[in-house]
Amino acid sequence: MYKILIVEDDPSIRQLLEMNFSVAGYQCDTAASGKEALDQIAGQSYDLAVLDIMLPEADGFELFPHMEKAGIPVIYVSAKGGEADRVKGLRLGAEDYLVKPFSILELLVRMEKVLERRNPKNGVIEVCGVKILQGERMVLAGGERVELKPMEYALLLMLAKHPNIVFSWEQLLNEVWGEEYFGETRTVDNHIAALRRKLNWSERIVTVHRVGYKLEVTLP
Amino acid sequence: MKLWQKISAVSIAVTLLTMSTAVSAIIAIQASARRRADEEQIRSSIDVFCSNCVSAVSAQGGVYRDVTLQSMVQFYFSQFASVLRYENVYYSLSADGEYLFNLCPYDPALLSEQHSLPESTEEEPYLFRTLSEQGESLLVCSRSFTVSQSQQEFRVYITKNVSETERQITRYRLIGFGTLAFACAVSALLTALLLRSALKPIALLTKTADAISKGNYRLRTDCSSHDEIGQLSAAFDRMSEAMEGKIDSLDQELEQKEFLIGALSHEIKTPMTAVVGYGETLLRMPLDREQQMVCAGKIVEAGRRAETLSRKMMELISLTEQHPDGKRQFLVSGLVESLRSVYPQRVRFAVKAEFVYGDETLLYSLTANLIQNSLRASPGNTEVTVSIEEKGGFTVIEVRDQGCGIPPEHIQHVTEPFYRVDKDRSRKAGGAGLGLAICSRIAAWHGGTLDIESRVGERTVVRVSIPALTT
Repeated sequence: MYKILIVEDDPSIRQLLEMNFSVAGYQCDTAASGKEALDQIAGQSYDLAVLDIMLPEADGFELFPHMEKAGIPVIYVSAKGGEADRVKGLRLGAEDYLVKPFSILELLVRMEKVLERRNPKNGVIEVCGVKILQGERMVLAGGERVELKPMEYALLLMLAKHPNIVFSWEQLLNEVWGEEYFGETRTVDNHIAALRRKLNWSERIVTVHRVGYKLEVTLP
Repeated sequence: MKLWQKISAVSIAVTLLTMSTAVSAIIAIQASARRRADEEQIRSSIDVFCSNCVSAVSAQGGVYRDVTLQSMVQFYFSQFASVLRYENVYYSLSADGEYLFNLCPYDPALLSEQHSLPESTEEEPYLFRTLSEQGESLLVCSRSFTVSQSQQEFRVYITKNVSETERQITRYRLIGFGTLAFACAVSALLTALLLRSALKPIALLTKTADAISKGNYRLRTDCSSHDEIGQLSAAFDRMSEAMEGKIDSLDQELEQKEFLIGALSHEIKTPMTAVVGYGETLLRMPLDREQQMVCAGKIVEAGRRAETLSRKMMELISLTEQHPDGKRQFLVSGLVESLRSVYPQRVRFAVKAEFVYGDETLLYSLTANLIQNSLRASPGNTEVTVSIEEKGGFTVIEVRDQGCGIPPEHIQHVTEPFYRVDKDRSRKAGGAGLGLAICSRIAAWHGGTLDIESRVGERTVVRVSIPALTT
């Protein structure tokens, strides 16, 4: 389980992040000021830090060198949306920079990408009787190999990694096909239909009315 | 054509016209006076000749033949002519068309005949002619007379060479017009120079106006002359001054508004992030019932915060703009009553003034804001004291609490919009960070001041002084 440090001075945003990260299966610690954050990283190690920029005592930019020293990748989440600030944050070496108000799901996906890159695992994901062998890029359903097109595979990975989370069409297009892809939402529908058919998941992949799709998994 | 050129040309033309008329008139009068004097002299000379000849012959007595009479008249005439010698005056005498005596180098009779002579009459026996002969101007006068009983008619001619006079008149004319031309030239030059220097400020005015219209509002004409153009320049300067002031204040207002809007757009992001974030979480994340309630609660809280923020912001902006002047004298007791009904507990009112001069709504908002701040800052078992009194021409509203106080380094900033000493606590208490900014603007709008005196952990006193109505 990954450990995330949340540094955010506004209590409601802090709580928002904490709640979502916990639901997404991360372990979280929080800090309300720059100083608290320094105390936290002195005592423990983290896999990722989500930092606000305007913080009391030491701001997000000042914290960066300490994070770097401790080997903690940083994603900035700030109300400062100016190009100068974004460039500054990214140039410092931050993994990403999101401007408030941001999308929680987007943040979760970005975090996951950072974590995956940092901790490469040719892991095996097993959901609802479907086994995804990431190293071999192979999908087994009930022990039998299922042939998936590249985009179907990417979509399956996205859903399997975030069970029970509802993705909108736009998000799936962005994260699976890429932001440059100007596809129609029909593309997503077609691929979902293919997955349902090939994996016999017509019950598992649920359409949430007017929101999007989720992979429904009954958690133990 | 420039204005100075126009004015100069017109004035010179007028001067030239009047002066030349005057000069011509004077010369004409002069010429006719000379002519009259000449005629008068000739007339009297002729009279002298005629009467002398007649009386000299009569004095002889007796009756003579015509021939004898002729030679007698001729004799006497020559005697008189030799006596009456004047330069350029010639005498001639004729009888029956024959000259009896002629010293004139011209032929007066012939000259006279060339111009048909009107008959002389009893009233005007003199016949005058002005003639021109061999380049000379001649004035010829003739008169006929008879001697004693004889029918013999004699005719006297006096010829005067008036060329000299005419030449003199011409000289006068020359001198007159020459002087006139010179005077005109000089006056034209002076007028032009004078006008140019007098109108120079207009060029300056034009230049300045152009520069101002191009955006250089600092420019002034600084014209020092005291004439109408100087007054115009001064008025223009006053206008530019007023305009610059207005533009400056507009710029300032704009800057302030831009700052406020920038700060607002930043401040609004926090509640917006919360609303969007919790909303999205509710929608997408697999949450249990309790977590869902937390999200809903957070959305409501953030919405309220945004609402408070926008309301306070509007209040602040309306104070930045020209707030309509609603100042009047009103009773303090009314203000205190409405405050007491909103804050029935923990607030003590000490009122020593009867009237306040100002905008009742704004002053209510100011006092309520201060009370709210104090209540938030102080523990639940302490009191907040509001005192209103009149001191040295000012109405002083003082709000005193026994709260946490403001650290000295923050005091000068707390009236800035969105400045917070303790961000967390202020938000939890529902503050937008605008209360004191609004209060200080309200005080300033009334022409007053807002002072803060504080000791950390002990107390805070906020004192607002606004001018009282002096009668």
